[in-house]
Amino acid sequence: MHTAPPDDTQLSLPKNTPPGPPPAPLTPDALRFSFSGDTGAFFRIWIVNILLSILTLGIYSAWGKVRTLKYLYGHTRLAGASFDYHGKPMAILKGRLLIVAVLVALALADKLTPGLSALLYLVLLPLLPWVVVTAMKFRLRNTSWRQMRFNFQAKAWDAAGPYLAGLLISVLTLGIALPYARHWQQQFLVNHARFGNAGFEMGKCVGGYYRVFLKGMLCALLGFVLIGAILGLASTTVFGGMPRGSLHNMLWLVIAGGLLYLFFLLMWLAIGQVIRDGLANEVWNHTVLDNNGRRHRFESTVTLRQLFNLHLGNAFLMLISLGLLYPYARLRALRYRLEHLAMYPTDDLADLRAKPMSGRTALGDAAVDGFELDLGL
Amino acid sequence: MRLSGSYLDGRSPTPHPVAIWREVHELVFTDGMSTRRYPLPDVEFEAGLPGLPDKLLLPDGSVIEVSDPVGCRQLLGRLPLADRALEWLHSGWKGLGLLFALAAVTAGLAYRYGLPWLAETAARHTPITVEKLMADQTLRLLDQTRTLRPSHLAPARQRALQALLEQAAPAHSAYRYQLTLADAPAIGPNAFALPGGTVMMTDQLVRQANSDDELFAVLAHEAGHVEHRHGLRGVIQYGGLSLAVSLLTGDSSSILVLAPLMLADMKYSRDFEREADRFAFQRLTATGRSPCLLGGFLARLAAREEASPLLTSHPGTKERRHPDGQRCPPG
Repeated sequence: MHTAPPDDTQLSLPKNTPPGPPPAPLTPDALRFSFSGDTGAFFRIWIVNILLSILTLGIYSAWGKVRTLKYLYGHTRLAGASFDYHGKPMAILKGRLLIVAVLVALALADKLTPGLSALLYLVLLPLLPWVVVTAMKFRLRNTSWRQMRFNFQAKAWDAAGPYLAGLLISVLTLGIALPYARHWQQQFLVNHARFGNAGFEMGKCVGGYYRVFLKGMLCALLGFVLIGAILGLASTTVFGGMPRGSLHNMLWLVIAGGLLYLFFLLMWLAIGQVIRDGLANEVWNHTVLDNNGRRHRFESTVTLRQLFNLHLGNAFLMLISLGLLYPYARLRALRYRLEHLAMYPTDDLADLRAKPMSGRTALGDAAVDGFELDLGL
Repeated sequence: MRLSGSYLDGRSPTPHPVAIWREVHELVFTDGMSTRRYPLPDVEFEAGLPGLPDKLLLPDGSVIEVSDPVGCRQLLGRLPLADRALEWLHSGWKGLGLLFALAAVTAGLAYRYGLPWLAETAARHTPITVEKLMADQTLRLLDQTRTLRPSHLAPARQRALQALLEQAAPAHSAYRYQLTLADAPAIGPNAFALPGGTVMMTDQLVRQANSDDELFAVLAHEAGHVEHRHGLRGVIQYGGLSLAVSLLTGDSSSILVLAPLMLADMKYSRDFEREADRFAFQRLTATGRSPCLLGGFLARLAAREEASPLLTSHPGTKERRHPDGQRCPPG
């Protein structure tokens, strides 16, 4: 009478896998993440989003965000089944209007009197934990795998430690404690995330955080030394004989300055992404999904060197295409990260259960906090 | 007609294959053991994005995924107009071309007329005290950087120039004009207006002038900036531009968009200069002076090496030398 579902998956795994050392990479037990999206289709979504946003003076951008995330989540697959995004455009629009209003108020206050803007910052800063928790609630509650919603269970007060104290110690130590603070914040975010009756847990990996930050900075530093040396050498050998102030000399200065600026941009774009993805790699490798004592672990095998090549290439493509290749670059990075991510379940994932919190009518009520407002840009 | 779909209840991860069909105003589906029916208005249809299944969202939060897009639409009737329009935009190149043209026109109109109009309206409704606050902020900044030193001009000369500024300003102005003279070798011959009626002029500029009429022309130009509230409007326009750019580029870093932003803002600043020029021409004519004075003086300054680089955001001196199409003597 009916045919098999389109995505008949290898979800049910043999039960009672023998206890022992964690499986080596690429054992058949691994559930791989993959990405099935297509660059052409994503380019369409992206360009239509931009053009309609211009045409509607920014209003459409909320609907565009939903389409973009629906496409990206929908094509992100774990064990052959896809994720989904359920954010409502109106909630995103409201959140964006609020953020724009705050930014405008801050800019105006800054122009008028420094006292007023300092006061505004003092009022807004304690709101940061609330903003973080609200944004995370919106994001996770509107994310699903096989239509089972994720959740974020924390009070705004819980975020005060990692976000306010974390910010304070980063500033007081002139950034030396920044990786530590980031680790603290990330642990807060992961440990309050839930998937149905299972909770995520992130172990300590402060050392890994420091390694990623240091390597990223070192890479940027080496890059600058290298380009500086090359430009310096070239200017003394090739153009050294030119008289000072001549046309050629000026031209060379302009070209060298332009090259330096471009290189700075490339590095700026790439290093930030490398550090971000490198940290995510650490997080995945120290995270488990705990379902009543059965711990499903994750493994991410991206390397900083490959991330660096990937993001430097992406930044270069974006620059020469004036941003037009953004969809290609974004999918390339996403695909790389997902294809190096796997989940190692201890047994059957089919035991996972979610509470029926995802009813469409419940969303309409706007009674549940966190659904009405998207504060994550 | 029966469709096959995949039923996900939102509580457990296991999908159930189901058969779906329609009975008049009800959606019916069965997994072979139990059959359920929902009134059609309670079922929300979500058109699938490219490569993704269509979804039927049921009132209890469960979802049926249908991979056959044609069948699903036949089952439920036509898509809502907005969805159809979006699908059209995402399918052919014609829709995209039309959209591109419309967006370009919108962006152009908003840049050329929308934002300046918005800034002008907002500035007109802003009390003068706000402009004064802005000016105080700038003055404090100038004090801190110590680029301005006390003027070397004699007090009597300074009073005469203050009188000249009051003469250059309109008779019944809402602003109280205040001339501040300063010695600024780093800046060179220059004058600028702060919002709220404060005009700064350097000793270097005063020394370059052949006559007080030339200084009158410059002061009238600066009074034009004050009267038209260019300081406030400039802030609003720059803020609007950066907001639009950051909304469009989203997550890209601000350093990338700084250059195009400055370029776009340059046109606004030239428009302000033209408006201030027109104001100066009016004041010159109204007080029986030649409107050629402004362009002539500025051209002479630009010809000298020590001319301020700040003049680059201004209209070409060539244009300024033909106020309202008049011909001015060369040199």
